[in-house]
Amino acid sequence: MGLSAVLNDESLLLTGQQLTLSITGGATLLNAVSVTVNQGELVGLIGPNGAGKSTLLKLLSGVDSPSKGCVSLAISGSLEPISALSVRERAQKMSYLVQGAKAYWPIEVEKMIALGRLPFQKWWQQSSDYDQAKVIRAMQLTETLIYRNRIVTTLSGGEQALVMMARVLAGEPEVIFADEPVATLDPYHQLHVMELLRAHAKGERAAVVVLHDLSLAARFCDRIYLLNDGGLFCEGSPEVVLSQHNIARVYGVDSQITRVAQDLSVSPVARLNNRQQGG
Amino acid sequence: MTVNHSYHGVLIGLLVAMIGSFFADLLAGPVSLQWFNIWAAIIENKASLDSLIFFEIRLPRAILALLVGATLGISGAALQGLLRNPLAESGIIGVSNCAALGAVLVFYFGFTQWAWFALPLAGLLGALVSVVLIFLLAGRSSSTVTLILAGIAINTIAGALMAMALNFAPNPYAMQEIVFWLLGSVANRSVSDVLIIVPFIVFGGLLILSCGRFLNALTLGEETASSLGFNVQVLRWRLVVGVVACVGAAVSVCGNIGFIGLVIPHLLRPLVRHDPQRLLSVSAMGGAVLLLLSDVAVQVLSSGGELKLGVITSLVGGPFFLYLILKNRNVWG
Amino acid sequence: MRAIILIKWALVSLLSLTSCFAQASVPQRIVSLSLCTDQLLLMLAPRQHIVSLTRGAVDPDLSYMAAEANGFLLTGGNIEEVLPLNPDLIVGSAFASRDAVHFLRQLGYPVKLIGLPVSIAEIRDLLLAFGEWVGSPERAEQVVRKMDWQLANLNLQQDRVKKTALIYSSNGYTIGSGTLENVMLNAAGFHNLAVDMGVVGFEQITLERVVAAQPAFLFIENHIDNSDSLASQYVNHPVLDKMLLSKQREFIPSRLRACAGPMVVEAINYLSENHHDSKP
Repeated sequence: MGLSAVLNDESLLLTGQQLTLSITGGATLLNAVSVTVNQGELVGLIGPNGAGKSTLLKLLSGVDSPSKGCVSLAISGSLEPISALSVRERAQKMSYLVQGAKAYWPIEVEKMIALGRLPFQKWWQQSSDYDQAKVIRAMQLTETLIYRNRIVTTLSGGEQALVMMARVLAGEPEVIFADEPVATLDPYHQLHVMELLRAHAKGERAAVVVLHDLSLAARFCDRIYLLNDGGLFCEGSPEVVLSQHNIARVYGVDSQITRVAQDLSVSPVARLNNRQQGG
Repeated sequence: MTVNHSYHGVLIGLLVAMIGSFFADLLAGPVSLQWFNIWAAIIENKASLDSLIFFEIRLPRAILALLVGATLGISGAALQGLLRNPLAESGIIGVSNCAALGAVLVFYFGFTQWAWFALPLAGLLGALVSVVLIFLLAGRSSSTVTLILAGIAINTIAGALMAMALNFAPNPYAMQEIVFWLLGSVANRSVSDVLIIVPFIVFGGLLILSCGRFLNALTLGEETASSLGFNVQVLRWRLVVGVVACVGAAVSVCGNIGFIGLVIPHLLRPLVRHDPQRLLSVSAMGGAVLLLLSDVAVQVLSSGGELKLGVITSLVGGPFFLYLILKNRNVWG
Repeated sequence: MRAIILIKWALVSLLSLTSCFAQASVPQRIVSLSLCTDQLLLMLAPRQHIVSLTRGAVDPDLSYMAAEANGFLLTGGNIEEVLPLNPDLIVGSAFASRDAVHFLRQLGYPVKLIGLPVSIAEIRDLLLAFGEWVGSPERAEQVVRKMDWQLANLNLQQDRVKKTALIYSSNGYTIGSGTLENVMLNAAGFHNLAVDMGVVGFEQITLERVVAAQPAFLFIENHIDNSDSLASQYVNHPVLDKMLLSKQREFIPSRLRACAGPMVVEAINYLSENHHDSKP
């Protein structure tokens, strides 16, 4: 575990060093992966199924603890390991959006979004006006005010995704961690959610997103980490990472990469017979 | 905010209902009491016939009905919040029968003399075993079918072990008394029976209430709850200990009174708009009201109370359970 | 000369034959299927005619004739154990298994069942009838005479106003009219409040009614010694100790009332003269 260090790079927000996760039974889900996230960055985690993207996201956000390695967060000029933070402090600074997020009880949308304010309330406190204001703001950002009195479970998939984002935004975290937030959405809602993440990752904040859609990753992410088989294959800007060669090696598909002005578009075309493992 | 007004309204309404039904239960009984005599007895500090019946027989009975009803209500709401399943309830998932098993082993084999808390502690340990089993069998999946099947398995085994224990017990009435353990009753209890379980119920109830916010966070699942600042492992066990403490103690003295934990949270959930935290206190009061009124029914129907309380709650709860199944057939597959 | 020997021989044979017949009508191998017939056998039948009793017969808590029952073969009162004994008379209570009785009769065994007497007169009838069955009618008459004499000489204070009493037993049972226990209470000079409450036979009453009845004497009957049973929680409820207007006493011990017979006199005596408290 690292000790807190003076922050040399002013823009560094979050680091994960040599993160490893082994589970009982001996399998290693993640092997010595290091990640850095700077202020104002939208970082993408991509890779084939089972590469360890969700695992890495959970370690970075503090939901799970690594077997080896350490995750640190920049707080007032120094890097603190998140394991040293109280659960409450961590929850205030980092927010996690689960894959396939849903509500188990049919509660009202506004109430559900208000759950995002839980890390800021003491046990005896009810929701304050300040909390209420944050909730409204989150609904405005996500354009979900019209749903505020609807029951969450009656919304469509796209509407639910927006409402879940609003819950995350209501906490005004420094870093948002989202696990495949757009997987089941139509193009309209996909773009909307990614735009919200992009808008959040400005100034002193950041976001880390697990994605399957390579074009979306290319378009919205500042930097991408390409994972394969529990390890880091490569990282860098989308142009660097999303090369035909890399995609062929990791995903085992032949792809067509086109560039139109600022937009990089990646389309998988055909499967390759000899998919090479490792990286 | 209108939301808070209606919640406070619900709380006050239930409180009034609880007090009212408590007094109704005090009034119910085969002998009609002269209240003046009771009052006079208190003032003169001398027992009279009416005060004797009131303080030694009726008051323990009513207090037990209130405490056990509140316990069953709040634990039903707690289990449903924890397992995120509206069918979770201490009877259905086997917690009550295992508590009864623990109590039976201590009661009939002479260990109650060991300490004043021996009996409720035995109920608590029995209940704890069953919760561990439920987690092992049904995991943390919210699948209804798995949960119910696990409950059936545990209930069956606990019931069989109870019958076997009673068969081997040293005294000849043991086997017939299984009816009490399986159906439950608050009749013929003394003040000391009430006193031994009060600490457990208060302790358990407070533990459960302290997990209210956690239950709210669980609406979004365990990982999200963790990211919202809740230590899921610790809080889950705190909740479990709270439930087994109060249910275990209640069952050890009154047997397995069923269905309160299923009916009450379900009925009251719309009143608190599915807020798991608010449902806790509301279910406690609702459970108390239901059990007190059931006891009044017992007094009226059998002119004295040889009808077991659990019969009434099962007559109410059983059909309610059927109704739940019919209504939610599609959802539960 | 030869004629006289012949006639003597004929006479002796005739006599022995008739005595043979006479003896054949008296059962020689009697088997008992229940505790109460055990008692009657031990009181009325010749010891050599008794082949087996039930296990309860030697239990001093249950059996009045426990001491006399020693030395006899004991069974559980079921067919399997009884048949190999080759009985010529089987006696049991009317509550014995109907199927067992039917089966035994079908096999050709004489089975005689006794009922449940609820009055002194019925006890007399029972003793006399049983005496006939086992071939000791004179002995039965003797026992009845002694019982009557003892009853007449019971030194009971017959108060003009009878003392009120109530019986409270495990599981909240009380005993009302139409029972031998009620007869015993009355004979001992008590007025059974259960009868006023309309209780017939054995019925459960609530604790409240017991307290409200305020009997002068509350007879507690706890069938189990240790209090670890819900049944005994009724009779151990603290409110009973607080009934200051009632004296608690132990009810008649089982061995004196489990079965009908001349011990009814001792039972009545126990109620009236026994002054020890019920709690040790």
